[in-house]
Amino acid sequence: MVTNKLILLIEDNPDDEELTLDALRTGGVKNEIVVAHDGAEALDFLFPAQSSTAYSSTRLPELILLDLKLPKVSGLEVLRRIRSRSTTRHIPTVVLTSSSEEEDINRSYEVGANSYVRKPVEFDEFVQAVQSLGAYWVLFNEGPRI
Amino acid sequence: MTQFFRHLLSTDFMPHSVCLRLPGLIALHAVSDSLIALAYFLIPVSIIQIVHRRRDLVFPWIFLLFGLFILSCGTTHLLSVWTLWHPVYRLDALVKAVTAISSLLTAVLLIRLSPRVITLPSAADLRTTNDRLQAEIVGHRQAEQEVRELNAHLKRSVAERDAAIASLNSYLQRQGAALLHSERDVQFIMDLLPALVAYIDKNGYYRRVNRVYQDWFGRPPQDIQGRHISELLGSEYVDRIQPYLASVLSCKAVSFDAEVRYPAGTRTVNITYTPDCDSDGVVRGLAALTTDITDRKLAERQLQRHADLLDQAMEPLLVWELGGSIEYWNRAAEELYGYSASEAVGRISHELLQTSHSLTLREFEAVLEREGQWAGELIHSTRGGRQIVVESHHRLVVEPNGRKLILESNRDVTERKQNESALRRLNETLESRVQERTRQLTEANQELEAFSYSVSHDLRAPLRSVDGFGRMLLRDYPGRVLDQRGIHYIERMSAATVRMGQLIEDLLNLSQISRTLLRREHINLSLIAGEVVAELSSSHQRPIGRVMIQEHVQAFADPRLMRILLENLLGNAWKFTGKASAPEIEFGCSLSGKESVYFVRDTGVGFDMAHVDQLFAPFHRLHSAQEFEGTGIGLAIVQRIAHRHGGRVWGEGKLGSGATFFFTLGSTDNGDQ
Repeated sequence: MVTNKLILLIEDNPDDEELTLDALRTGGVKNEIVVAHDGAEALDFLFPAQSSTAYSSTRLPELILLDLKLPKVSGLEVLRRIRSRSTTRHIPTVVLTSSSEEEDINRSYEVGANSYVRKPVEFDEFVQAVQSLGAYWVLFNEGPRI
Repeated sequence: MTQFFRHLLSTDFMPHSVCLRLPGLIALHAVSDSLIALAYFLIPVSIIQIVHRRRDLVFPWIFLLFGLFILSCGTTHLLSVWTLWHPVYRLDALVKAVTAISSLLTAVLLIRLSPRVITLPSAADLRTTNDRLQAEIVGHRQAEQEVRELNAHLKRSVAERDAAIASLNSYLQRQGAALLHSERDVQFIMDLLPALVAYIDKNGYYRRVNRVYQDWFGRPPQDIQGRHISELLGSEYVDRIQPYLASVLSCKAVSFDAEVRYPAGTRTVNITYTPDCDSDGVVRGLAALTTDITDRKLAERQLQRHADLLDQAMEPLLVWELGGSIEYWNRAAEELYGYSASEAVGRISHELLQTSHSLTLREFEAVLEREGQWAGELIHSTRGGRQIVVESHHRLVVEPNGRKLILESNRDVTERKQNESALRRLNETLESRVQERTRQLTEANQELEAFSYSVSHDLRAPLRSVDGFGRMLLRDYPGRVLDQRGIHYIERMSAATVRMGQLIEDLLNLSQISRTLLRREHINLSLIAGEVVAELSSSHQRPIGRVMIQEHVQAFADPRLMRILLENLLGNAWKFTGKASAPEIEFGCSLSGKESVYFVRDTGVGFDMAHVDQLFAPFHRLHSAQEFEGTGIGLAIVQRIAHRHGGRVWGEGKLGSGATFFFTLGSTDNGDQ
């Protein structure tokens, strides 16, 4: 099992954060997971020290789990920035959110989401969904070689 | 006496010288008497000369008498000289007698004359008179001068007039000679006239008629001349025209219209009788001019009929001459404007009605003349001063004689105008109200969007927490914290969160129906119903029973929304036939008037019609969740979709005997099968 892949979870709701982490762990995802609690924090992590050298010492994540409704900078804006930079353009990004609004889904794909997963209310379904996507993106999916 | 005169010159007496004897005395006598005689003889010479010269003397004879008296005195003294030496005393006495008589006569006459001589004007009086006369003479001379000038002018005028009269006379003589005096020419001219022309004597006999009589009476003029009027036209006719005949026979011309029966037929004619009278007013006869005015009368009657008809028109009509005054004014115009026809005719319509127009009358008339017509709105004033708005039509009508008339018809639109402006005001406020409502609606929609977004994102997260941590409790601490009862509670909480999640889902779906854009297409509902039924059978373990779908049910509707609608209705039908022994579901369409009515029928549990009103309220259920699962949003969604299409939905059912739900999709022409 590949464990060196870094996962960035961008989630402002601490309950959802805990439930998501629990689901991933119980689903067998052992990877290092970094959590950003709002859009700004996520951008700081992805694009540190903008004024300094172009080379970043920070490890970039191999998978981003992105909530849409975030404080400060919205999830869609964060996704737009990710897709606009060459360093982050190819990182698989999965929208993981409560909304099943048609508009949210369509706009997410327009901006460049690789997948859109609605968080089910029912815990068992939620766990199943998170574990499936974790397994798929972390274990089976081959990302670009940079 | 005879003896006296026989011895008149006898000298039988002694001479005076004898007595006197002294030669000196004798000489003195002789010289004195001679000188007196000379003086006495000279005085009458002067008197005669004065009388002869001064013709204006008042009493010349007294001067002559006086002269005679002095002459005889002189003679007496002369004889006294003679008798000194020749004693002719008889002659001397006779001369003295004559002297005596003449002097006595003179004295008497002078006494009688003296009072009259005293009254004679004095020389001073005469001078004054003279001066006045002089002044008068000067005045007279001036007047005379003026009269002379006037005379000269008169003479010139008379001369000019005489010249004119002379030339006229010569002209008349020429013309008279050429035309009037020729009998044949007169007849020729009479025959030319397109009317009956006759000369009738004072007794009513035709003396001369023109050829037209032949056409009207069928007899040659020779046969008519000499006959009486009554012979030609009957005594009844003569009685009828008696007043006119009486008038013309008393030298007064008369003209009248009459309907007369001629051998050629009855005609309406105008007859003019002109009397032929001499200078003393004695009538000799009359000239009769009879003109056929039958056609004119007919035309007039026809015009009158037209005018009467126009009077009946509801629309005010008037006719006026271009550049002139009103000639016709119908009854509707009288009613609208308050002026009677007799008041209006002859007036300038623009002045009478105080027409308010952007053009001046002259400009307006120029437009009418150029365009031939004009239509538009005008503002007129009625007699009562009320301003009215009229929808006016002007049309130019050119008569055969070139006269240009304007036929004007005016419809009173004052009330309509007022209504229009009221309506316009209402529309303006309506517009602003609509804008206000639209704004409110937009706001409400934005709020709904925000609400839905919030519901979608935020309302579900806590449910997930409740269910999630409950489940984790069950998973991570089995048998350590919770007994069976505790586990049961957590499961109830979990079920509630799931149901809450479903309700939120349904609510969002319902609001989604309202928020999405309606995209109508021509679609086949039968195909969609078939697909929905296929999905239902594949996703549920239970067989669906008998399904009947009418073929080619067409609709002009949003296909996505129609799928949701059919999913709900067919889903309900499937759900509520679950306990039926022989479940049947039917989808079809029937025509009600011009409207397509679609329906879904089932043989399920049905419902009580008493609760039919509650069927379509969101989250309202007629069954418990134990009997049939569901949140009660399905029919609310169906109703909203029908409403969005401008249609409606209703249900019919009976408890235990199935239900039928009908829906329409608004009045489109494309809903027919």
